[in-house]
Amino acid sequence: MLLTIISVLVLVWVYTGIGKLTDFNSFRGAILNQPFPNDIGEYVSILIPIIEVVLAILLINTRTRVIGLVGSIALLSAFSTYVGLVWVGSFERVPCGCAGIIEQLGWKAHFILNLSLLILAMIGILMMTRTAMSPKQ
Amino acid sequence: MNNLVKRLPLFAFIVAAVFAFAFTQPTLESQNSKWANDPNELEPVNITGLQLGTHYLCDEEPEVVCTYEEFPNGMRVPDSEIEGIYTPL
Repeated sequence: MLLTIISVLVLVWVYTGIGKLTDFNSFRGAILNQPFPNDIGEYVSILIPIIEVVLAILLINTRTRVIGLVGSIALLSAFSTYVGLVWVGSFERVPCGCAGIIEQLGWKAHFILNLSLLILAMIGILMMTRTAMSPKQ
Repeated sequence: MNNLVKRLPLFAFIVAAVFAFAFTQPTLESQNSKWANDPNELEPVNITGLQLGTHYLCDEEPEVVCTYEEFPNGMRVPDSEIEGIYTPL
């Protein structure tokens, strides 16, 4: 079960991270289209795909898996919060759902997907914690 | 078998990387022209060379075309449409 959760997270991070790096111009444009300053957007467009690929690498290695899970929870929390805020109209404008990889999803579906992955990552870290704390026979 | 199961995340990494490279194509400079449906204009506006987020914005609006691309012969490029309301910056 734990390996399945880890594999799903690796799959998601690698596919989205490499996809964003492959079509970087489109991703950068979509990020600059978001309702936050372009100065922030320039850094975000570079950092996010790099962080995603790094998280995938951390998750593969058993020694750094916990760090990968904690990082995944942090990033997915940030994504879920931002997408949720956009979805409920907290910003002065709602940008188009043209942010690259999962273009076909609307903001609501995107929020549900991020939340599901966040819950999965939390289950993963709970399972790792229980395995570490269970008495060795 | 146990060894294979333990390597599942690595396999997932490789498969995802292959799919990402296979299904994502970089946006290249092309001979196509890019057009925007500016709500303040009667005719589509030529925005070839302009960048989303830098020169214009597209706000969410279903079933409204923000921008699209055309081949040099004037035919619309399939799947080039971006939905939304066009706003020049």
